[in-house]
Amino acid sequence: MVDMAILAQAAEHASGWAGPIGAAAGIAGIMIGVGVIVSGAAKGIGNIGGNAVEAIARQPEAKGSIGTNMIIAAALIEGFTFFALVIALIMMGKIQG
Amino acid sequence: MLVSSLPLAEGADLLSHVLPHTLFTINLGPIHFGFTNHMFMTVIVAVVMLLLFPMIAAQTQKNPVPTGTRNFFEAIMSYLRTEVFRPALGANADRFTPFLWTLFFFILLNNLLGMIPVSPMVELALGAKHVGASAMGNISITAALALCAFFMIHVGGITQQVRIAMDPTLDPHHTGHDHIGPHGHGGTVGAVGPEAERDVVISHHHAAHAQAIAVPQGMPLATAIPAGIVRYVWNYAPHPQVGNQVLDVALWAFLLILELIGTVVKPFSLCIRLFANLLAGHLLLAALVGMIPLTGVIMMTGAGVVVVAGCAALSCLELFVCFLQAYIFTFLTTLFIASAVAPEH
Repeated sequence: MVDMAILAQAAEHASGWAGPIGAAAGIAGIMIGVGVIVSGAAKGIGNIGGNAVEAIARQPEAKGSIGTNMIIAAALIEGFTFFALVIALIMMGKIQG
Repeated sequence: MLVSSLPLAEGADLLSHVLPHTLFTINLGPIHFGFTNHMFMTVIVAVVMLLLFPMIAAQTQKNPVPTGTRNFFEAIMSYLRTEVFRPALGANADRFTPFLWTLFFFILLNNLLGMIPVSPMVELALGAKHVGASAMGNISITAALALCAFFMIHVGGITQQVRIAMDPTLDPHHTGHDHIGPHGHGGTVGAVGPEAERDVVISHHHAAHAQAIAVPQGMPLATAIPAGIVRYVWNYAPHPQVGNQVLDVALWAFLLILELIGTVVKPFSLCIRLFANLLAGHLLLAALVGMIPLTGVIMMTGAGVVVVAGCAALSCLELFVCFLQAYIFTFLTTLFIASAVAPEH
């Protein structure tokens, strides 16, 4: 009985605002979100990299400007990827704090 | 040595390596201004830049051939001006080049200073905790840079329109480029064949053009400033055409709203991109090093070797990210200034 009481109290304290499974569900949601963010970014940047390498194979003398444009496009995609990751970090902080 | 430095890795939690820490507080009546270690890093970079670049410029006067340090910086500055500023800004490049160079080197030197572990070195030598940090890993500092870029974009655009209001020969509309407008091609005057017809039509068009748009007088500065602001807002979205008024004005209003949203979103994305890239790098390194004590006392040395080697490799990626993010910030600011100062139609 005492164990159950302590468990319930611990669950209550850990979740705070959303009930006993609130914290766990929140963390699970955030981890799924982070997985989706990373897979989207990897798909996009992989696409750019593949097309850039193909373009260099077709015309090797253009590799300077193709490489520069590839890096710029990858950095732009990473920009909003990191924005989404920052939001995930903030939410993790909200759950734990 | 390894055991005595355990408190560095274990005692501080993950976030304390990347969060700002107050070094001392300046109390002026009701104002309590905490001077953080991030601010300290930017002050160090500012002092370095203020000492370094006038020295380089002085050497330019003495000796036209660059050598050594001056050659390094001049190569970077020349590359930026030739490949980034001049293609985007054209004739206006020289007005914005000092600001853009300063932006690039400020971000770059802050990033590189963040890669040097100033904080652990000072902590081991002097005992003062958390003296150094990566200054661009603080959203307030990148937001301040994005605000500088925002002001430069709009002040640059408005200044250009004020210039055009004061001296209308600078206006690209009146330099004879043909554009869609109300000047109809008059009917053919004496049709004698397709080539002659075309020449006649062209000369007719030029005559109509020259008559319809006599170059207006330049305004004095006092009226040019509000006129410049009005022209800048008017030029913000593509103009509505003369025919089909309702649809074009609705389209213009819609595009103007989109452009106004873009005004806020573009500097915001500059800020977030730089901040998140730098923060994520240092957070990752702190997380990896922070996991070494979790492996237990026996495994710690071996795990430490492997993790530190991995962190060294990640730091090479971080060095690349330092240069890349400084370049991307400068390049995008150049593009935004170019679209405000000399928009293509």
